[in-house]
Amino acid sequence: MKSWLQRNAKRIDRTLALLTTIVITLFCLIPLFWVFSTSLKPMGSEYLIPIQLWPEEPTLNAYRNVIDELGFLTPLGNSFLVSLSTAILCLVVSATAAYAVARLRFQFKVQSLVLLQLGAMIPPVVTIAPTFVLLKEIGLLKSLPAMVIPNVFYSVPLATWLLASYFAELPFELEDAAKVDGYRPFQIFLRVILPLSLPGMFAAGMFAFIGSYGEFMLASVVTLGIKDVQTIPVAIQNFSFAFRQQWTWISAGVVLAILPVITIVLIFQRWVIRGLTAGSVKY
Amino acid sequence: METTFLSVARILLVYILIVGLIFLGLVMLARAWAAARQMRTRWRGLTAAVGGLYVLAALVFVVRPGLAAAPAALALAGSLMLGIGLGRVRRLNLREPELALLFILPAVVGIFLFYYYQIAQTLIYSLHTLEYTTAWSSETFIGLRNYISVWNSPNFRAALGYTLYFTGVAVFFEFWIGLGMAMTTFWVGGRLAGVLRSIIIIPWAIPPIISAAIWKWFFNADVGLDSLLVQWGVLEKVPIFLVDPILARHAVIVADIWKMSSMIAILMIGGLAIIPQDIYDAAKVDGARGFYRFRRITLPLLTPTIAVALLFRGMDAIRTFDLIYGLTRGGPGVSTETLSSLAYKFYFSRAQFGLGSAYGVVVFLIVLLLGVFYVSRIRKNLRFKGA
Repeated sequence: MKSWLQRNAKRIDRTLALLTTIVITLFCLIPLFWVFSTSLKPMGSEYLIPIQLWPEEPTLNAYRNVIDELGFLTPLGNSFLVSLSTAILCLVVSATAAYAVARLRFQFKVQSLVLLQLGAMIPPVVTIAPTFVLLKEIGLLKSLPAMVIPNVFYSVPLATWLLASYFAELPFELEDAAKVDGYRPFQIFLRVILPLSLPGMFAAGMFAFIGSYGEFMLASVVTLGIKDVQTIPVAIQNFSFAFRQQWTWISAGVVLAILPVITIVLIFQRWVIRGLTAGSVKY
Repeated sequence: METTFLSVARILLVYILIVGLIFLGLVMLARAWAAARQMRTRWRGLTAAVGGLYVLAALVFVVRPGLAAAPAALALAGSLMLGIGLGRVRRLNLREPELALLFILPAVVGIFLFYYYQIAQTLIYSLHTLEYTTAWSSETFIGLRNYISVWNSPNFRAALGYTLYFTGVAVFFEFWIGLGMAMTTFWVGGRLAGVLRSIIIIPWAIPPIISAAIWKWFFNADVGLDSLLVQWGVLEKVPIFLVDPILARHAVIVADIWKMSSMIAILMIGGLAIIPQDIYDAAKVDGARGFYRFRRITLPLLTPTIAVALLFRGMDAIRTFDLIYGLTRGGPGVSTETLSSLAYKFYFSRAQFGLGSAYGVVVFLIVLLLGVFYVSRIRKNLRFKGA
């Protein structure tokens, strides 16, 4: 005679799994829900007690204010410009490097990869002051490229590794066949390997994009006081200090700022997992 | 806008030119060396000397960038002459290793410029009294005195203590929550797993400084989480999360756990995905139960991933800056100050670049300690065969 527990083991297991899923979902989304609901409240009502979890009359006024009066679209545009150029330049630099690492034979291969990965571990706080000086000397301070150029190399180590692990999976017969067809080495890279690695390229580009979209320390120093070149993180930070009571506005800004990254990450969800584990897990 | 574009074009051109010249010089030198190896020692010595010039140029660049041009030009000219004379290079038909060098050089030069060169600068800064300037060559060299005053400062000890406490507590909880999240995605399975994975990834994707803003609102003293807990009757009186030092310290940790558990979960999903399913099937046949399976199969097979994830996350947590800066600015008092946020304050609020650099170097040394373990762990993953 089986006990009730044993008879319903499958159903209990399923219920528990679903319950855990719900708990995790709440854990991940509640702070975001809170900000989203605040952003829909009429100005001032975010301080009403008892606290409303969802506004009685949702309004988009905060968004209108943030966009029209605070000019939030400027930092949003800046951030896109910076992150997109970073991603593209990073792909150019790291795809070639990854090709060398994954498909070509040369000495010091492991050493040069270690060099790259060790570099990525250097905390930004150690490099920020000299980087600031360097950018000042080449006359880039208070401009968008001042963020792009360092960000490119901040993203290169991860992108190189991710792409190398992607290139390494392609069959080596590809190169042999291309050589027979008379392709020169650079053509092999450009016409054979790259087209086959588009998903990997997108993923690496996405990491560079997200990394530089959220980069704050350098951006805060480089754009000091210049509103035209502020990126999203700097703008949000300044908002939350300038209008420290207007949380409907700040929340609207936050929602506008995170919508693009969340969309991108959800599209490339599979690649996030793969990209982050490229370092720790050998596929 | 136009001037920006022009300056970017100029910088790109200079970069390509520098990389190209370094490449040309190295290839010529390598070919000359290959030829010189079969020749008299005099030629070998000369080739080695030209190689030494490259190192000299790099060292001079760190100390006085302006003066590096001379040895660099000399090294380049020497390599060209040796390459043409000794190596008998008439046309550059690139061989495979040389091609690889060409491909990898743009990345390596940039990494040197933006990481290794910078860290050398910071080291030099930290040995000088630098206030309101970074032109260290005209300032007093004071040896390790910055480090001594860092060590004697109570703020440093508090920050070091909190940094380590923060790292320890945050990584501990992130590990278990992240592992739980990752295992749940496999537990529910099917289409729901994909949805759950997407949800888990969201906190990771949010820029740290923005997640700090979100949590600042969530911890708001009047209408935040605390008042909500009172409203629901969970608590009796209102705690003020970001005002009380002890609560503030833990509030920051909670915010970090929220964002970074996702990161661990993502790493663990990757690690769990490569554990072959037949091992579990075999264990099931043998009658192994849930917890036993976890302890005897999952954990041991996951150990490499766990080690890498903990080290990776630990290095990241030690240098936490954005979250602190956005959430508390180190306050109340200095109770949530980390080493990184203190260093930033020394640089950009007090313009004490020498002292700030000393703080930065301390962060670097701690991270380096973990980094050495990390690299030795991942080293085997760095072996790419090559065609």
